[in-house]
This record gives sequence, C-alpha cells and structure tokens, in this order.
Amino acid sequence: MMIRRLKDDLVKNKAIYIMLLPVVAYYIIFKYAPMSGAVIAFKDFSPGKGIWHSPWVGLDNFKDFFESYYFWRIIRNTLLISFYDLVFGFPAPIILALLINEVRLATFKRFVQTVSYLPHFISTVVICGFIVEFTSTGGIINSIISFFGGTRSALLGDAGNFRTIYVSSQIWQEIGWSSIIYLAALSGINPELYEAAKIDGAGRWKQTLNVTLPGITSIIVILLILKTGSLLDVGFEKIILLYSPMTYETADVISSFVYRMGIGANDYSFTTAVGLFQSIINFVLLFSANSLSRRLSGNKIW
Amino acid sequence: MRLSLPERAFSVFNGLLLMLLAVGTLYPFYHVLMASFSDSKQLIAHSGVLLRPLGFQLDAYQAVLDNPNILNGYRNTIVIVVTGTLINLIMTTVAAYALSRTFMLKNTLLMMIVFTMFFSGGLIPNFLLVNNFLHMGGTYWALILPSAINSWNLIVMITSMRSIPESLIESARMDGAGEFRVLLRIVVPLSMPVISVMLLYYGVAHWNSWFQALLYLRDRETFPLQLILREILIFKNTESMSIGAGVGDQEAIGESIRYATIMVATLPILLVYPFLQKYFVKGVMVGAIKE
Amino acid sequence: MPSQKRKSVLALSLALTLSLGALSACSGNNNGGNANSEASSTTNSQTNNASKTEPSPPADAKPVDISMWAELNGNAAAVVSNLNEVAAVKEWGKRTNVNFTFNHPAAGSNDAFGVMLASGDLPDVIFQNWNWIPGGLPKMFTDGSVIKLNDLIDQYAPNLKKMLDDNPEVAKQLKADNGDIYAIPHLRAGEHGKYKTFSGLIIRQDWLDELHLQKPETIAEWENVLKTFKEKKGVTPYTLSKDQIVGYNDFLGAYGLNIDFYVDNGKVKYGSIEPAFKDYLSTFKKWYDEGLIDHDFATNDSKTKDAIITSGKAGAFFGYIGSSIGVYTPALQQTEPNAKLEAVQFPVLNKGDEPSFVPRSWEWDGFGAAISTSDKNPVETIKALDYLYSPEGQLLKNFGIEGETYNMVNGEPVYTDLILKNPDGLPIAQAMAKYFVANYSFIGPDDDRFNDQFYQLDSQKDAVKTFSQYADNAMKVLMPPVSLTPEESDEVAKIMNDVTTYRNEMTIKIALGAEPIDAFDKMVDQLKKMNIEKVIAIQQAALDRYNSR
Repeated sequence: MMIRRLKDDLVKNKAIYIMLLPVVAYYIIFKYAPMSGAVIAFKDFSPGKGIWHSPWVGLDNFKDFFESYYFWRIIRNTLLISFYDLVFGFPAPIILALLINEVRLATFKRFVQTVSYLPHFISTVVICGFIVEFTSTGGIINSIISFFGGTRSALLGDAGNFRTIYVSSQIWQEIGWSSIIYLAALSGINPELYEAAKIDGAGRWKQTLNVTLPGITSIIVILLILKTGSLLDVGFEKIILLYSPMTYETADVISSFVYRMGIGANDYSFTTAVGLFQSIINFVLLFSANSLSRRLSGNKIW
Repeated sequence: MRLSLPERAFSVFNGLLLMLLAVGTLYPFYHVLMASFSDSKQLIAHSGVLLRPLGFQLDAYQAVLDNPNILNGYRNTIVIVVTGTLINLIMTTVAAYALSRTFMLKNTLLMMIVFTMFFSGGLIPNFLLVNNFLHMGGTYWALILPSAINSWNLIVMITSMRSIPESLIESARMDGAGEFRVLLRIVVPLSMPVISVMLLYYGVAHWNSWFQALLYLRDRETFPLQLILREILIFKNTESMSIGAGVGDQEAIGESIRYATIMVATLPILLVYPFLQKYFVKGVMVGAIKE
Repeated sequence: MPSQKRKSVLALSLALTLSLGALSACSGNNNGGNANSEASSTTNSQTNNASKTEPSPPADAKPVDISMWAELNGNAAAVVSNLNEVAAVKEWGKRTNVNFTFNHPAAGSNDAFGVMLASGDLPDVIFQNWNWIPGGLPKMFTDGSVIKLNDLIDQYAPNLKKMLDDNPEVAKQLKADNGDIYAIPHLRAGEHGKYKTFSGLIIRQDWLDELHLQKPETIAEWENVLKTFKEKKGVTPYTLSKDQIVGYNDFLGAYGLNIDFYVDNGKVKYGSIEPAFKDYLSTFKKWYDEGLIDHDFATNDSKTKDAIITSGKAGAFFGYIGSSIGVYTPALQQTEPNAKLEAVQFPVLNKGDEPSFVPRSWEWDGFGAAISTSDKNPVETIKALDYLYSPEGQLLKNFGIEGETYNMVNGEPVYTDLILKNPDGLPIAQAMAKYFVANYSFIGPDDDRFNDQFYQLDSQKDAVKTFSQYADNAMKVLMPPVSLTPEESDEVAKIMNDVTTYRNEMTIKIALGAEPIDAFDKMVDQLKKMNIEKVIAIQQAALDRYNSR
C-alpha cells in the first residue's frame, strides 16, 4: 500500500525527485556515512589505534562529565547566557530591520545597513580587546557611570555583570549582520498590500502592524525555532577571552569548561560525549519548539 | 505625501537612533584602521579610544604585503570563495525549491536534514572520509564539498520560497512549464533577495573559514588568507600559552602589523554587501515579474 | 539611472575577474603548484621523478627522501613558506645526502596532529612537543605509530650518544620509565647549552636609581620598594594580567613552594594546600589592599598589561628577557628616554638565602623528532638527524653558513650584518629565521652564543646572568618531566580540571578580599574532597619511577 503510493508519487513528482538526488547523495555521503564515528563517545579513543581498535568504556566519558563538581553550574550558566541572548538578542535585529525599513532617504538607509554590519567581520580577539578596554576602571563606560554619580569599578571583574556585558556586546557585534535576512524578507512583501492599507486609511504604525510584521512572521518564527535548538551552545572563544576566575561563577559554560580540560590534550572521546549530550538536549528543544509552533502558528520546519 | 506630526517626530527620532547605532558600530572598524596606521611602539603604550593614528606610518602594510604567504593566501581564498559559493548556491537553491513543493517524502527528508544539524560523526570520521576514502586531502575540494549545503541556510531558503504565492507557480504550469522551468523563470527571480543573502552568508563563511584548511592542507602555498591571518593574530597568544617552556624569547610582532593584517584580510569581503543591497529594495522583484 | 548602471558594470567586471582568477588558479593547482614556486613543487610527488633526472649531488649515493612533520615557527612563516627555503636546512640536506620534504601544519592546533595520526598517513619523521600529546611518546609507541630508537642511536648516532653519555641527567629526561628512547630531542645542554632561564621579575631600574634604592632581595625589601614606588612615583607598583594566576611566577617562590606540584626532599607536594601558601596569600592580599598590586589585574588582558608597562605606569612585573625587556624598553624610551628595565633576582624571605623556585626549563623541553613506523629508511634518517648534534651541525643549525651569516672571530661564531643589520630591514628574529634555525625549537642543541648576540640590550645580557644564577637550585624542587600511564593521565585530567578551577577561583577571591583569609582552610578541605591527594600519590609514583630510570 505504502510502496504503491510511493511509486505513484515518484512518477507524479519525478522532476522533484531528480532535483533531490544530488541533495540526498550529499547528505548520505557527507553527513550520515561518518556518523557511526560518534561511537568514540563510548570508547577510549586514541588516534594511533583508530576508531575500531580503541577499547570500549561504556558510559565512562558521560559519567566524567556529569560527576564533575561544576556540572550544574556550567549547565546553569550556559542556559542563562543563551536565554538572555534569546530574549534580548533575538528581537534586536528585527527591530533594527523595521527601523531601517522606515527610513525614506535611500542613501542614509544604505549607509546604516552597511555600517551596522561591519563589527561582524572584526575578529573576536579584537572585539574582546575593546570590551576589556571600555569596561576597565578608566574606560568609557565607567566615565559615564561616574558622570551620573556612580563609582568607578572593574566591571568585568564582577560576576554580576558578566552576562550583561557578554549579551550586550554580542548584540552590538551581530545586530546589523543578523538584520540582513529580515531586510531581505521585507523586500519580498507585495507593495500592493501597503497601497491597500493606505486606502483603508492606515498610518505608518498600523501598516507596520498589519502588513510589515505579518509579512515576515514566518521567517521570524522559523529562526526562533532554529535558535531554540542551540540553547546549549555557547562558544568558548569569547568566554575565555572575557572571563577570569573571579567571574567563573556566572561565566563558566560547557564549552569553556571543556576547553580548559582539553588545553594541550585532545581527548576526542570526552569532547564527543559532551557534544552528544548537548545535541540530544538541543534536538529535543528544537523538536518541541517545532511542534508547538506548528500547532500555534502553522509555521514549521517540517 | 504629507506626514502627520507624530509621524514626522518618529522619523526624526528614528534617524537619530540609527545614526547613533551607526557611530557605535563603525567604531571598532575605525579603531582597527587607525591602529594599522599607527607606530607599533606608541600603540603598545596606548590604551583607550583611538581617534587618529599615533605617529602615521605605512610600514605595517608594507610588511604585510611582503609576507610571502599573504598574496598567495589572497588568490587561494578567492578561488575557494568563488567556487565554493557557486556550488553552495546551486545546491541550496535546487534543494530549497524541491523541498518547498509538496510530495510524499518531504517531511521525512526534512527531518533527516534537521537531524544532521545536531548529530555528526565529529572530526575524526569526517577526516577519514574526506582524506582516506575520497582522497581529497590537500585539495580545495576537501574544503568545498563537505560544506556544499548548510542546513540552516537551506531551511531559511525553504521558508522564504514557501511564501511565494502558489498562484504564480500554478499559472506558469498551466502554460506548460516543467519544474526546472518554474524554478528558473519564476522562483529564482522572485527569490533574489534571499539568494543574495545566501550569497553573502556562504561567501562570508568561505572567506572566514580556516579550520578545514588547517586539517586538510599541508602546503603553505595553498593556505587561504584566514589561516595565515589567524597564525599572525594568535602568534603572541601561543607564545604566552607555553610559559615555562622558555619560549618567551621570540620578538613580539609589531602591534600595528596585526591590525594591518586584519584590514587587508577584511576589506574585500566588506565590499560585497553594497553590491548586493539593490536586491533588498522593497517590492522591486514582485513588480518586475508582473510586467 | 547612470550611477546604477555603472555599479552593475562594476559588479559584473568584479565577478568576471574573480571567476577568471579562479579558473587560472584552479588549473595551476591541478598541475600541482606554480612554475615559479620552488617550495610548492618540492612537496609534490611528481618532482621526485624530476629530481632523478637531474645530476645527483657529489655524494656517491642517491639522496634519500625523508618527509617531516613540523610546525613552521611564526618568525619563519613571516619570511619563508617552507623550511626548505632556509639556507641552513638546504645545506643540512646536502651534507647528509637527504632530500627533506616538510609538512607544515598551520600553527597553534593539535587537531591537525590528531587527524594525521588517525588517518594512518604518517610522514617519516614527526617533530612535536610531546608533552602536549596525551600519553606522550610511550603511548605513541604502544599504539604502533613510532619506533624505539635506542639501538639506532647506539649504532648510528654517535654525536647524540656522546651527549647522552656525558649528561646522564639529560638521558634520564629523554628516556621513558622502561629505558626506551623515542625521540631525537631539542636540547639545552652541553658546552654551549647553559642558559635555561628566560623569565623572571623585572623592575624599573631608573626609578630605583632615582629613589636611591637597592634591587630588592627579600619580601620585606620588595614591600618597601613597591611602597616607595607608589608614594614617590604615583604609579601601579606591581602589575600583572588575569592570565597570570596569583602565585604563579610572582613572589610565592620566596615562601619555599610553588602553586602546583613540586618536590620537597623527594616527596611530591601540591603547593596550594600547604600552610605556607596561606602566608603568601595574606601578604599578597595586604599588598593588594595597600595598592601595591594593580587593582585591576583580575580584568587586565595582556594588551592592557603591555600598555600599563610601556606607558610608564608600572614599577615591576613578571616577564621575559626577549619579549618583555626587549620589546618594552624601546617602547618606553619613546616617551622616557632614560627608562631602564632590569632583571631582579628571585625573591627570598631571609636576607642571604638562595632562591630555589626559579622558572628553569628542563634540558629537554619535550620538543623532539620521532621516527614513524612508515619510515622506510630509519638508518639514513637517524644519521641525518644526528648530524645536528655534531659540532659542525650545531653551528649550521644555529648560525647558518660560514662567511654568509656568521664568521669565526677568536674561535667564536659571530653573526654578520646580514643578520644583525639586515639590508632588507628585517627584524633580527626574522632575519635569523630566514637563514637558519636558532630562535625556536628544532632538532638538535640550542646555542648560548646565539642568545648572547640575539639579546641586543645590555640589560638583557645582564638578565641572562641574573636569572640563571640560581637556576640549578631549581633541580631539587621542580617536578621533573615524569611520564604518566594513559590510565593515570585520564584520572589526573579528570580530577585536576575541577581542582584547578576551584583553586584559581578561591585564591583570587581571597587575594581580592571577596573571601576572608580563613577561607583558605575551607579551600584545603574542599580540594581534599576533590581527591587532590590521589593525584599527589599518582605524581609521587611517577616521580619514583622517574628517579629509578
């Protein structure tokens, strides 16, 4: 029955299936074929011995991770940083795109677009250098604080500030770059819709609410779902450039913890085990977000 | 058209806000530029905002261009970016179009694609596949083919293509157009905004990537620019990481050279965006199709 | 709209140039490198045929092909793209009748090494710092990647053998617990390998002179000097950056311990749980509270630290002879022509004591060349590598070719102006890297006569003497390069990640006053709960094995 229907579908959508041939081949060869290698999470892998000759160790690598004294702290920090980044960092580029969209002057529009995406290209090392400088006791942020009557302090040395500094600098660096996709989506909105709204007497605010936003909702929702699927990923590079033992309490995340463990020693088995753990959680999150959205908004990845 | 008072007030406010943002986001780039013109000795001693170069010089750029690997790196990077992005765009567009249609295995395939975003074999098996089985080690194919499709980009593109009105496609089909024709004549022109975003995403990703090159390339003549840049940027870091090994005796590389390298390695890719911006103009494409 | 049109023309031509460039470059690539690049063709297998057709060098036998894995040092990478282009390396190949082909992985990553090993595609010789590889060389040997060299050295490496016979201490470091040797090392040993200290405390000598102060020797004298700096000069007396853990390379040595593992009369101890560490911490805290130590050090990155020192806002710090004294001094003198940075002897508690905790590198720092199991010509390989241990080889490696890059003056090699005042304006480090292999780790012995000339400032030449004066005391207290079994190193890595995280966090909190000084006792208890004593026992066992080598 199933086979029969599939056969019919293959005939009916022949062209589609032909188009998908190289795509499926790509995923099978480059993604699924090497996947069996993830077994090293359950082995004590040593490169010289190879994947298949390295001894099995069962769940030892996972146990090492779960039993770490700091396990809960790094999970909590990872989730919180991701969460704040989601709450503040996700809407920011949407708002920027909407604001840019409202600019009438074409040259100014281009100028703002081009300039705001520049920081994305400056390497993390350099960006973190700025952050350290701006937040130092003599830095510009402290000058502002003291201007308003506050006292100067080493802002990065205070665990209470770390997430704020991390997330806001993240927004500063990525806001323009992330808004590009929304700007592209905005340009796809049919201008006739705006004309119609104007005839109905809608002002700019109403137009934004009734035409612009609905026009980009699907892309917003899909990106939000995708973002939910990376809640357990916080890269180590920026963290290790900004944190210090004084701020481990709020700054130490999974990746930085693993990085410290691995300095100089490539423990592929342990890293794979941690990665697998993150992937499972992330996948579950994305799966739930997708189901939820399918029911609530009709937007879905599959 | 006349604007109402609150609307005018908003326009002014909006303009000011965006101007502020522009200044804030321009600064890091400006700082790097100024630092690259500065004298290294003065630069080490400086901290804080940099509004003009400290002791103007162009030696840093001279040194960067004298580095035997940088010009080569440029050429290599351009080869990788152009070939890689071309393959990316073709693969992703075809895949996205097919997966935005309705057919029986669609959801299964989408699930399988999303699955690979989370689960992979990791470094070693991928290397064995590309190097030992496909024998691509040492060639640029090893950097290009394994990343022919980025699933995240693919999903974004599918989403965008889903929003193309079904009626347009149906009417083309009525005229006897097959899938390939629909894709080329209707969907691609309508998707130019998202395609140009993809061009940017893929192009920048290739431009910035160094890790695959680090794994697969051994001949420094074939290294892409970013790998060279990264070595120069981390040079000092690696030095301080090996404290105790007694390696602290290397001459620190000129501070300004580091910034000049960043400029040299970043400028070309920055110039791509302005060219793409015309595809972001509201409604142009929909109008063009209708004529 | 003309402007629009012009832009699209521009875009089109840009795209065209890009793709044309792509095509030509692609085809060049398929041919395996460009005609004009000597280096890229040497790594290509096709050239093997080509070189056979050429007349062979004066030696009777055909040169042996040897491939070698080695990171290209940053100074070298700035001037050459393959070690083959370095004159001394060419000459080395000629003299030993070997055709070297270098694999240069990009710097700063162990991943390239890991995948190379996993692929089974091994070059003949692998040059690495083996301390950075988990399990080290013994594991590489049991995994079947490298071969044992003892017999080969006895038969074919007379120069290295002599070095090991003359210096039993070196032989001990090189050997595994079972007596095996797996590497032709990079060494600081022998007649011209005395220097093993390159870092220490550095002070503003011009301020000491101005304030009529002596170089501080004891902790009390340091306190006085730092206080005077603060009062009279209004600067940050002592600065450091957040990467420098409290107690690592500052004043802790005076208290007779270091922060990690050390040896006290043959017993391994972990400094952070010793009572003396508490004394040190309270002093540090007091100095911090009094403003003698940089108040922002917990957030300083290395760039900030550089800026504080080079803008004349710091009195003393920990640094290197080359990259600190050598780099900071000229930067400082831009604004303060009289500024002078000098090395200070490592501090002690009581006047007249000799410091023991000197950051001295071991004769073997872990860098070495292992011969892989894929090497078809191990005898020729070891002969070629051993050449660098001969007197001529040592000169070739460290000074290049006589008459070009050095001359013999009174029996000592002296660099020519091609190196010291390079006509192309290259900095010394890069000029050296272009012609020979002296200023970074490579197979063979280092040469002190290189350092004597590389250090250009008098204060650097003095610093060498100051820092090395008590270096041999360190032999009794520093943890030697022991080797752990794979199981031990797994266990240690697991425990130590938690331990060091906790220790670093607590010490800095105590030092900065976020925790009271008595929290130290709590820290010791917690570290014991985290099984630090188990690690001490493992290290002790490893030390005992090392001592009975």
